Parts: sequence; C-alpha cells; structure tokens
Amino acid sequence: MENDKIGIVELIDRTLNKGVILNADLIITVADVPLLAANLKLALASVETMMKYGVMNDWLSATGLEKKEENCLISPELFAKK
Amino acid sequence: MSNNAFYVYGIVKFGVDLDLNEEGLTGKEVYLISRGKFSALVHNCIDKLYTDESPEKIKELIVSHNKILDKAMADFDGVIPLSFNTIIKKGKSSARFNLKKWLSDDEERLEKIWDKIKGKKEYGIRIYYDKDKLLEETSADREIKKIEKNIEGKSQGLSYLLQGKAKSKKQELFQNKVNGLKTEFYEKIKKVAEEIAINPSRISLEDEKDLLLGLSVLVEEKKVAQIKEFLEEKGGFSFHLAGPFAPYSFVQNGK
Repeated sequence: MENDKIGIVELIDRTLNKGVILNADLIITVADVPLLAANLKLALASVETMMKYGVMNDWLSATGLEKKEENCLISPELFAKK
Repeated sequence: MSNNAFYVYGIVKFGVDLDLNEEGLTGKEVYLISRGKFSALVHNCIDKLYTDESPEKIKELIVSHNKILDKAMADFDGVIPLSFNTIIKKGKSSARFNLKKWLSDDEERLEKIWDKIKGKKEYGIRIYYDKDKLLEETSADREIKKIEKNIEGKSQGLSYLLQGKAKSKKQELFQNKVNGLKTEFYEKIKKVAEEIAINPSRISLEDEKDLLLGLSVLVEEKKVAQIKEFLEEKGGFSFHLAGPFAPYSFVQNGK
C-alpha cells in the first residue's frame, strides 16, 4: 500500500470519528443526514475501496446507516432535522 | 432554513475576534468568534450539513476542514479540533449566542484539553512485522522441538494428542512473542510522547495483514525524530508514520 493512501485513510478516520465533543443543544451532526454517510462511503471507495476495509464501520453502525444505502438517492433535505 | 449558523472547525486559546485570512470549505471566509479565553474557528453557513453528489468533492471538503486546522496549529500553537460537519444553529437565541455560551460553559474543560495539546501534534504510527519469520522462530523453539521429538515412534492416538499439544503451544508462544513486541514498541514510544493511544482495529487494510500495532501519539514536533530513530533502529520491522494531524484522538474529554 502506498504511503499517501495510508495517510488519507488516517486523516479521514480522524476527521469523521474523532475530535472534541461539543456539549450544546442546537448542534447539527453528521448523524442527522444519511446522504452524507452514503456519499462519504463513495468518497472513500474512490480512494481505494476503503469501505471494504472497514474504515467507517463504527461510524455507520453508530448512525444506523448500514442498511439505508438506498436512501442516498433521496434529497438530503428530507433527512435534515429542523 | 436559517442562514444564521456557524460551521465550527476547532477551538484555539486566543480570546479575541479575528479574521483568519484563510478560505475554508467552499471558499468561505474563516474567522474567530471569542468568549473568555477561547475562540471558535468558524464560517457563516446555513443550518444544513455539507454534502455533495461527487465523492471527490466530499474529499475536498474534508481536506479543507483540515487545512484550517493546520493553519490554526501554526498560528496559535495548537488547536482543539472538531469533527467534520459540526454546525451550530440558532434556536430561541442566535447561533452566535449559542456558540459563545458553549465556549463559556465549557471553558474549564477546554482549558484542561488545551494545557495538554498546546505545542503538540498528532501522528499515526503503523508498525508491521514479518509474520512468517516470527512463526518460523516459534516453530524452532526448544519446547516445541521437545514435544515434536516425543511424537516420533508414538502410537497414532498418542501422536495425534501430542500434535495438538504442539500446535496449541506454538500458538501460545507466538501470541506471547507478538504481545511482547507490542509492549516493547508501546513502552518505548510512550517515553517520548505526551500521550499515546492504541488505534482501534477498524483500520485494518487488506494489503497490510501483518500490522503489529497501530498507534496515535501526541508529541512535540521536535521529538518525532526520536520516535523515527527508534523505529528505524529496531531491525526486522517496517513502519509508516502519518501526520502531523490536529490532535483529534486526544481531545475527547477534559482529563
């Protein structure tokens, strides 16, 4: 595996799964929009089919999105919590 | 949908409102909103998450998010990163009020985190080993050889039992060796790093089956050379060092 691919996997994993938790109401997070998850899956796949490596399994599992891939064909506004 | 929302990249200890002079996601102007000692790196947005039909575009967004954090690390000697797509919106109060209230309410926690991460960056370390070589070494172990010698000339039933014993002993020895190596690397790197975390196994790439250990370390940049030196000196292994990153893995609580 090329070094830059490992680098981008490490970067994406951190950016999506880690960081300080904002303790506040009125926060929109990725968990609210399945479309984003579906599209990020594609983004990762285009790097090197990273989904099959399980990079985002925890994230998708936490958001309950694994079985909702078909939703990616629907407009994101339908999923955004107001 | 309101346009009174903020995309939040991260937090720095600065305390003064300021333009960052850097473009964030989709070319948006990034600036600091402050309350007390801390400032949030934000851009104005609507209360809708960033997404796109194009996977490449999403990758760009993620890279842009990190570009801002890199700039903040350089300008403010550290940054407390937030994960991609964290947006604070208005409720009964404005988004600005909500953001400032959070900075104020969480100041003590942010202070603890800042003290830890200031002047340091995160690196990812992946250490690989030669599994076949280690298996060979295990097979050559004196205890294994002794059991295998005992098998010679034994009845079929007893031979079967002894083979099972040898196999299980091999597995035990192999696992002990692996654990010993993991501990050795971990302890050695821990001495140099401010903090160290074992990465969960979710990143297990198919073509790197012989990954011994994946770590995240929080470390002063000048000390990274010491880690590299140790890894290079230790023969029979290869490694990959990724980063520097904003300290994502070390900001999830205020301990």
